[in-house]
Amino acid sequence: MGRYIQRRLLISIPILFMVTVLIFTLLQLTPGDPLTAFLPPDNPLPQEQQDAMRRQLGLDRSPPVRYFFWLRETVQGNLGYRQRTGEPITEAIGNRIGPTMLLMGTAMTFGILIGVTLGVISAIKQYSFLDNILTVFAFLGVSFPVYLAGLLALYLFSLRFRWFPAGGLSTPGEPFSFTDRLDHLILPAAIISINYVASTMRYTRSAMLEVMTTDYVRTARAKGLRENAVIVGHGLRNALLPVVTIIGAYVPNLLGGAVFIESIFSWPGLGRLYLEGIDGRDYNLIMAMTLILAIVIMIANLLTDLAYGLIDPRIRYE
Amino acid sequence: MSDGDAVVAANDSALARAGRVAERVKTESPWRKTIRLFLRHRLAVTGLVVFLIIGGMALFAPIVATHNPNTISLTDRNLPPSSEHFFGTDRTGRDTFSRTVYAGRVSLAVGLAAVTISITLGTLLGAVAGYFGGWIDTILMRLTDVMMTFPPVIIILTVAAIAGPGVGKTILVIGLLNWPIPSRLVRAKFMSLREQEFIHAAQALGVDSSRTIRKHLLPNAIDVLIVYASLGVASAILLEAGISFLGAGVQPPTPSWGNMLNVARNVSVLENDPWLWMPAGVAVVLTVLAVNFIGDGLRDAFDPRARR
Repeated sequence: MGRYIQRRLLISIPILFMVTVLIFTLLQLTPGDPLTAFLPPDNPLPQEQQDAMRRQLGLDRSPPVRYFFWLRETVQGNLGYRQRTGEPITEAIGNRIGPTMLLMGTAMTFGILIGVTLGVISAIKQYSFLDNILTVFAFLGVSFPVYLAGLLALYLFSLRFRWFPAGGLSTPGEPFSFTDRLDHLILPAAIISINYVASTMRYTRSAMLEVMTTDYVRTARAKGLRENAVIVGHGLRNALLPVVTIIGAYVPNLLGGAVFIESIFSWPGLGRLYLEGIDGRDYNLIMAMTLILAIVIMIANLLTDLAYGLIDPRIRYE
Repeated sequence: MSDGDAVVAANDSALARAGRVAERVKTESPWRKTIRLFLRHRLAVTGLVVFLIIGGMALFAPIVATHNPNTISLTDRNLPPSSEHFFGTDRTGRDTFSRTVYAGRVSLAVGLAAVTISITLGTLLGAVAGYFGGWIDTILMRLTDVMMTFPPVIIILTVAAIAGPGVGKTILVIGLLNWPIPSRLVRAKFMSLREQEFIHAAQALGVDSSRTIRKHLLPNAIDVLIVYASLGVASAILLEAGISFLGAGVQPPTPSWGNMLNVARNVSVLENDPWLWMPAGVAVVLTVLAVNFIGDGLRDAFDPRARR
């Protein structure tokens, strides 16, 4: 097990290296550079001054040289500074990571719990009225883009009915309170979790349907176990394997969802930070955030694989 | 063409002919069976009908639209829905209904064109990797590993924002960055087919690699590609709408469903003029739902286990 983790971590180093090269190359291929994004297009600086600034920023060096400068600093833990504000990037990310984790953690936890529960119910009562309703809901859930669901929810529940505040992390000017935070959290978290509920439910349902026809489930029933024990102990336990895979696959999309929902609900998290980085062509910020995202995704993949071993003792890692 | 090549070609086409004869002897061709199974899938047929209606409206936009989508009229600003303007007008007096219809052209075109690009590229790379294997396969698969590390939304949003706006660029960005999935599908299919007798037979006859891939392997991978294409169109439409919603991608005055949703980022529009953004939202959801149903029906229809 230890050897396995060690090997996986070693393999991930060249992949991470390639990821950063890829992003860096993509950024290089695009027209313009950070300086052109920084200067107002209608009022350009004289060419000499621009050249001087490029030299000062190191933008006159060749791309491979700049990449290795970046790599050398990053390996030492220096992710650089934000272009416009000069704020250290580690600080910027540190400030924004909390709200995103709160939002996404809540959405994922509830989404998965509700999704698994509904999936099991839907599988046990296959082709029932409830199952059909849930199937339609699942199709709607995966077809409804998060930005549209967010707009609709904001329109209906915040602006029309005024049940919830229209975005933000807390009510301005009021001291922090748990209920206030919860009030702001419910709507965006619920919107994101719809997607998780829908897809977790579908995967759980099909996995459960398959497991419930196996011989060991019949044996469990034959030896007189109560139906609930069969469903949870034998059915769900074995159906969880494919479900864990899909949960692992959610992690890469966390930032994608955050970008949309945070910009709709003015949630000061990483998604909005990333959007600011893109809008301002803040190359340092983009590089740093994509690198961290890649690391998080790799850790998630590793944890997913390790979770297989916990759920299914037949799987061993040497 | 040398004699040897002619013999190979003759044998090769004899092989293909034999396959066709064998098919005719059976009661029903696989394609007819697939179509029959698809038509039995009620949701899929509903999806197809809805998709054809939306596609038809987009195709015949000049006839369907009641107004010119770009005509600015200062006397008709901010009108609520009426019999003259079905979905009202925006802040410059443009007719929202007509804009939604024309936006369908852009959004569907982006979806279809982007998927065409990603499938062509993915098939090409997947075919080469799956057929030849070896170091080509290793390099291509490591590349897809790296590409798939990233959620498509993030990488496409990044590239689209930096590449700049425009319909053509949006198509290219979505198309060129989405090839890893079809390439993996084709590769997996080719790897399993590669070791089957009919391929060995073709190779024994001396059929060259490119012909083996085109005539013997690709037709057998077509079902995977068709199913991917339907789901790929749905995700490309969502991606276009998503990045245009955030302000990258397709830019006004060219209407697209995504940039029509973009105005709703202004709270006053969101609250007071729902007719400006809701039609585009409904159009996106209906289209994606329809395409997803079609994809579901196709998957069931192609599934050999479901063949009855």
